[in-house]
Amino acid sequence: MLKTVLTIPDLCWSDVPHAQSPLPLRHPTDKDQCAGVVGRFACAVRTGDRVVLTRDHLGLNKLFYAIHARDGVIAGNYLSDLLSEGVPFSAIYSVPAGHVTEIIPARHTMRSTPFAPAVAKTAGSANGSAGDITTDGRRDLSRFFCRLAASFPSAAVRVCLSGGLDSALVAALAAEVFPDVVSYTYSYGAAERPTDDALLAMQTADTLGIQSRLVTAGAADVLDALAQAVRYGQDWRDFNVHCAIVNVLLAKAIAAEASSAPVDRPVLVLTGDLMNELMADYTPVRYRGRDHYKLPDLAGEALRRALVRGVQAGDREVGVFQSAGLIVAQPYVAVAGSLLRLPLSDKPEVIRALAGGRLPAGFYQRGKMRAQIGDTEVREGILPLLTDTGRDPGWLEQYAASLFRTAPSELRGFLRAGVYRSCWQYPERRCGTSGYLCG
Amino acid sequence: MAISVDNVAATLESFIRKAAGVPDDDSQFSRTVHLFDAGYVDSLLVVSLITFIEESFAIELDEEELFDEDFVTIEGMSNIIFRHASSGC
Repeated sequence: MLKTVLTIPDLCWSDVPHAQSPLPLRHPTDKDQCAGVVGRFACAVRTGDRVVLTRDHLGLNKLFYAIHARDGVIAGNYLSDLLSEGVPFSAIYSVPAGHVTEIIPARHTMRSTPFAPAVAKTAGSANGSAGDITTDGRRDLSRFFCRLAASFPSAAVRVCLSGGLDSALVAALAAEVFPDVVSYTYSYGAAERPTDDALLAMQTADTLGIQSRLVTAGAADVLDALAQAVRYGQDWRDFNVHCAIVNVLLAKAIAAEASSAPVDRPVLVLTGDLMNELMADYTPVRYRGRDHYKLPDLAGEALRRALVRGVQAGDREVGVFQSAGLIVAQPYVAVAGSLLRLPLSDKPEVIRALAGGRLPAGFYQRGKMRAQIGDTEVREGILPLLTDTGRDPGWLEQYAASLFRTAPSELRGFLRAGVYRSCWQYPERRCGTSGYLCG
Repeated sequence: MAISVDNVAATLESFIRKAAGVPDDDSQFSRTVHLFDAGYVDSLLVVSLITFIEESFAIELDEEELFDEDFVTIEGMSNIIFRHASSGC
């Protein structure tokens, strides 16, 4: 009645007021239990005649499922795994972030109920001073790292380091609690000519006293990474595909070095992801007279709500690193609750407050860059390469459709407003001859 | 003014025409055209549209409504919004 292809481990803990609660927490399955969990999880369990599917409140872990008329429910983290099991794309649904979905196949009933919104209606309307909130955030971040260190004491920790503040703080905190921390930085083109962003990242590693690796990749490497970026990044929108390509390249380098290490230890990858969504710190990029990575025409809290809600679609971090056998943690998940109470603020100031003096003052003067572009001039990198070779958003959609064995129009119906398609009534119609059910 | 399906539809039509740059003489555009399949609303515009709906009608759309089979035309969206607003939740 339930078959699972859940290959991505949960990384979550009960939000109780002591630092040593076990991590990872196993299979939160009911609404009350889920509401008190911080981190990422996607669970599928059978309880009597019910199948219960649960997914974390930000939707960091993906949870797709399909219902077979005879065999019941199949659930997995990757679309490609369900397709490999013979599920037609049109029969695949997602559990919405922060929901418990209960399915009783024998009775042809299902119900989805939310246990936590990604962004509360009160987001941005702080109850308490900004200072108190960032103090809470600093405490939550430290606690997160203590829990990680307790759970992965012998891990080789690899930090994806860009030239920005978000990953710099993650690296600084990691270096305090883990003995073996190495940073990995992506740079487009030749090793002798790192991008501006990569140079800043190397300086950051030097300043923090951690070893660094430069992962260089040319046009052929980028194009080679594209299929994995779409398949495991589970998205076809350019901003997520381009980021996922960077992560595919980093994951490959990290996994290769780990496999040649003399001692077999778990590898824990840390990223500075999520902070841009939590602080709505994204801007479009202009290249060849056109804006790329365009944002919805929204401002302030409305934009932040949309960006945070959109975290639940796309798997450029967890999905991509896990596909290379690497466990990934996004420490800013620990401060999401605090930061979403804070009115939208200047991100460097928020990082400064969270860092508590860990980063040199000069770091806060740096301009914002993106690893997939590399410098402020947008001369070369993933965006120019894919754009100049015709791999624009329309092409990416067609490409993803062929990878996922479906039509572009089906993809458009599957991902809407940053949310994957969900199902709210037991589907009764058979999808062709597959035996799987569609709504 | 009491809310009606028709004035919800008029409000939505006006927003979408402006945001999507639909010319006045576009004969394909109507309140029953599939906004996504016909390309009037893309993944970015739908985000703005949802925010517009939530702010204009003081409601909160959830994922169920987002993927409702009616949430693809102005007419269908208007029915969803009207039901939602009338129920007061």
